[in-house]
Amino acid sequence: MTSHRVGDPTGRPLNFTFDGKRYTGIEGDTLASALLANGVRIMGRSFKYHRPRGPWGAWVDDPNAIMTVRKGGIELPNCQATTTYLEEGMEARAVNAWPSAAFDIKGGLDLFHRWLGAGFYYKTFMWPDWHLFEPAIRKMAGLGHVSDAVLEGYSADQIHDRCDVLVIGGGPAGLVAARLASEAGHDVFLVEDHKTIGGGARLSEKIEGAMPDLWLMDQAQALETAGARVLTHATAFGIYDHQMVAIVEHGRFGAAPRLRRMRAGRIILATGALDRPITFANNDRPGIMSVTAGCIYLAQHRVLVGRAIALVSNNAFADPAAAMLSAAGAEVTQIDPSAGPMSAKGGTRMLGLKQNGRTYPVETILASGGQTPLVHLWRHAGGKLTWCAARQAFLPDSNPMNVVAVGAANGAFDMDTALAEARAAGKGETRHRDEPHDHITPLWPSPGAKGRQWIDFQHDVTLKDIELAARENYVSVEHLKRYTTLGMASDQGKTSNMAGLAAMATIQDRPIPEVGTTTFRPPFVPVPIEIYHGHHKGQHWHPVKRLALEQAHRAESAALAEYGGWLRPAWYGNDGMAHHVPLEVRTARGAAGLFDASPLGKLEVMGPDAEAFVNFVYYNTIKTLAPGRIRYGFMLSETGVVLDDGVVARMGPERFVISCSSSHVDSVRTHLEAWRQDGNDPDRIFIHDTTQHWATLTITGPNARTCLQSLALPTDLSPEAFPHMCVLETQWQNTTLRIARVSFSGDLSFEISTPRSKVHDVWQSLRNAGAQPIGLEAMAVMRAEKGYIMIGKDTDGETMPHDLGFSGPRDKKTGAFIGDRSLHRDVANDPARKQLVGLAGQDGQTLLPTGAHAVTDEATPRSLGYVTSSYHSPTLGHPIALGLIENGRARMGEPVSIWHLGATINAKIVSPVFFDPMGDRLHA
Amino acid sequence: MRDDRHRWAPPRDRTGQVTAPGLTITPARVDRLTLLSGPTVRQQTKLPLVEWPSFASEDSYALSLRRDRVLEVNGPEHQDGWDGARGLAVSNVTDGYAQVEITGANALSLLNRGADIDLRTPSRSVARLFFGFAVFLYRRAQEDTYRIHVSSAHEDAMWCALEDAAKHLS
Amino acid sequence: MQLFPCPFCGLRDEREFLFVAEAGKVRPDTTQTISDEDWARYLHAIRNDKGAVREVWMHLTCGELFVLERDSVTMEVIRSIPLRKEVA
Repeated sequence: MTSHRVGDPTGRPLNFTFDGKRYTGIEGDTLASALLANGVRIMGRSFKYHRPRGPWGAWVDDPNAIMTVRKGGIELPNCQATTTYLEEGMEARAVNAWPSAAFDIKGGLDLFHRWLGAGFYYKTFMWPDWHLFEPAIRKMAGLGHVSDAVLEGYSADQIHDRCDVLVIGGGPAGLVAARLASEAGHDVFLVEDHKTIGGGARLSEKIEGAMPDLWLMDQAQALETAGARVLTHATAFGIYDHQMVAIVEHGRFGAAPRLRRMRAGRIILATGALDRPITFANNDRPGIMSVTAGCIYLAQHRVLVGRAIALVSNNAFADPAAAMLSAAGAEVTQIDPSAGPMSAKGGTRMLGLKQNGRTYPVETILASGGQTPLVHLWRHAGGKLTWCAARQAFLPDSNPMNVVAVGAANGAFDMDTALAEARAAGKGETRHRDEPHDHITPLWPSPGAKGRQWIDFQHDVTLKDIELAARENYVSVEHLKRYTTLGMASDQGKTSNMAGLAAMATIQDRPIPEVGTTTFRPPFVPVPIEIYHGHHKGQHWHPVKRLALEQAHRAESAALAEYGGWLRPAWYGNDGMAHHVPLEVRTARGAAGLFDASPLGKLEVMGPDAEAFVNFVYYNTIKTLAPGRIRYGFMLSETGVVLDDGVVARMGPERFVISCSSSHVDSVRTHLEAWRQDGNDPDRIFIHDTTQHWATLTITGPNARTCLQSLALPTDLSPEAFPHMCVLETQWQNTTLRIARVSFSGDLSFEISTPRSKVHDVWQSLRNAGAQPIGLEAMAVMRAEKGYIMIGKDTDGETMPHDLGFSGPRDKKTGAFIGDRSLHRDVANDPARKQLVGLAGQDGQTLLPTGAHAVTDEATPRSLGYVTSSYHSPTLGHPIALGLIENGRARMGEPVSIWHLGATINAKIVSPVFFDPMGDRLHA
Repeated sequence: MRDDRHRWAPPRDRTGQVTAPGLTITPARVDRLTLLSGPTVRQQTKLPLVEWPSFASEDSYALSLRRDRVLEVNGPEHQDGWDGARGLAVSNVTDGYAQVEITGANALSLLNRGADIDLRTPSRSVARLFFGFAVFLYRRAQEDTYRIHVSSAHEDAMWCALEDAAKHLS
Repeated sequence: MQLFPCPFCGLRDEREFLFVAEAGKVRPDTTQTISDEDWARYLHAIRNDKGAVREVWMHLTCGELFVLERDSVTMEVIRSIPLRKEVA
């Protein structure tokens, strides 16, 4: 065994399996540290070539050890072995490997690597059609799959929170910054992604003169005394506008994590830095790890990653690392990576490191090509980066508002400087960055070098792929990324982006900062989609509005459907729409139908300027409307396009009720409120949305009046006393009823509005009087029989009122109104405008498909418009349709071809009013 | 149109209370809600004006909603319409809202599942978005007690959101 | 997730707000003659500046319409200006 546990591990033993074999780890282990303690080194297979891989890192930077983990019936894909804490009974499997990571059948794919370079799939599977190959390729690709069982009961908590100072990172710099900020009286919140605080502290011999463990206890004690909140095992994965930080709280395995939306006054980033890989031949072999990872496994988990170690580094941490590993019993050889090209020898088992003709017989290589500060969150916050030649790294530049970076994240790789920065940040002082103590030797990929040199381990991108991309002119980093998939795996290039862009810089002979970085975007670590929606899923994603009568409708076997955000009866009965809708239409035409119209808007406009305001917002003239009367009209946008239609009732000299369409209440209310406050005197106009206080029932049909009279209202409902387009208020059982004589069906109709809590009584009384419930689909058929439009169905984003046959106000209305000037633009006068017409098949029998276009008879047909509504009319016994057709009204009676799925239907243009054109029934 | 009657669970009866650790959610009844708007309505209402985070300690009070609008809860009866003498627009909206009361040591923690609710940040209006719903949210006189008015059609959805969030309390 | 200051309610989450228009446009008096060009400018000419902008926003929960000055690049909010005078 190469890697093994050293000393006497304390902690509870935990049993687990990997690729079917049993192992034991101890509490506090990650899957990776536990496997290393058991001498297991191959923990996965690479994405494309199925090369054997072991962990490179010891935490979020590891690209290699990706596993599917199962425990207690819950299975999660895409678990990093290096960040998944071990639990009793875990069953882990390497992804992308079968039957096991150590022996993978597809390992043979690696032999074909010459043909599998960047762009291979784009170039090879073009002919005859990519889609022929896609399913098989998709099946081979990917890292793990989602099990259905996971989703059961997997529900994320979401919580909002605030603090004065948020410190991200619980290493020495973060702890000191948090301590000073909280001792200064600020409400401080510290986030650390490990289960324990400390970060790189344990890699130091002493901190501020104390042993690391004692020093850490002091800091924890001080934070507690000062009242700082410390959250461990949680990752700040994104910074959004105005210091909103998204934190994922991991919890135990299998439980959905919690999303904490933290609004911070000030943010201190102490996120540390990562070791960069060195690019040499076969640098992806199991047994090659970062120097830091080797030290963390030892300091944190008491695991020595190898017995014979080659330590290859270009920076100051090499000596202390070598000392630490030697003290634990390893034989460490330090090798200067700049002394000559290197190559790793061996396959699944490491045989040595070769340089300048000499092979060092090591089974482990620890490498560091310099440190890369973790500036992801800094970039999310809008911070700029600057290139530091001495450190060979991008460092935080000018501060974004209220965000500061300290310690290794800011390029302060030595402890004293890091702590000095942290103290300043904790006290809220500005401090300029120190000049670095050492200048490191640049150590970047050498294009043209021999052997296969890995840049992106997780996506199998090699130096040759970067060279190919450069040859094919994908030289911008953003193009390079997408062409080669560099940095696009779940690690998002934490270990690979710098090497990739440095390789491109060398190939093109440009300085690294000129090549630049790709955009850093949240999330910093993979998070389940679950945390983004939390409670807002399924029925709760966009909850429907519920009618007061829903239970009554359900009791009458209503088929319910969503219309404009409300759950409403579509029809009543269990035998399907085609059966029930015609019956309901005949009932309503022949006797009395009862329709729940509660969602209809009731926007009250009141005040001394109410009349002028309503006149201004409507296309139609409203100021001449007498109290107690109702008028139908349109609201337009300033472009002259119809926004909404409906009736407006004048309840008094200074009070109007606007009955906008059910699905437009919110938008119309906002539209009116904006105009009220901008361009009018808001102290003389007030708009109350009373839509939900009132429930509304429509009773329609020849028997409507008789049914309504059965309520014995103290009101004369005769046509003489209460004609069409009138409104009155009356009392019934100590409740106010507002009754409007308006009709959407074309028959005698009354709209009865009552406070929501009373509607059940009214519904029941009218049902007892013989009215039969009808759903929205029957109402849609009846209104089409009359040629009444539905906005958004029979109109589109270009329809103006004169296209619908309402040209009076355009020609005659005096005084300004919204959209007025737009109705006289050239486009509004175009004779080819689409106008509302009726359409009928020439044979009188064919139902025209809704949405089908009317086309010219030219060799290359052109659209003349389209069918907007189409139904079988139960009343007339034949199909009817409405449509928007170019210059349609002038072409009444003319034939027109309707094109549908390759076939042409012969139709003709007719009047849109199919039923009762004189309106005798309406005025009954 | 598709028949979705089985896809949407029927609204439940919300007359009972829901309990969770440190928390009780109860429906609250009010006798009258009156929407009053006018340039000087905040001065005209005779009821104590409730903003955030002040307490509604009486049975009758006026919620400050906007610059020129209050909602009188259990206030005197007014005639609907435009009151020219007092310069007030009046609408009875009693049935337009459902009331939910949340009480207990974990009440604020529950509220923070639905929005960023902070007692240190005062606001002159009690109107806000909560779990995506437009609500009126304010404190009652009893310790750790909050009342929410939500539009009637969303009563059931609000209860579902609160119940789901309460499952995460411990 | 931005925070916008409603002149009446104070700081609130951006989800409570609706962008209405760029500030500064005045509706032409449509009872007078307006050229097609002037009307088109009123309808469609939008500055969409990079950097400091003045916009009209509505706070949906309280209905207040106000002018918001902010930076369209850094998302910094500079100030909000009520369109209405405070009633004493």
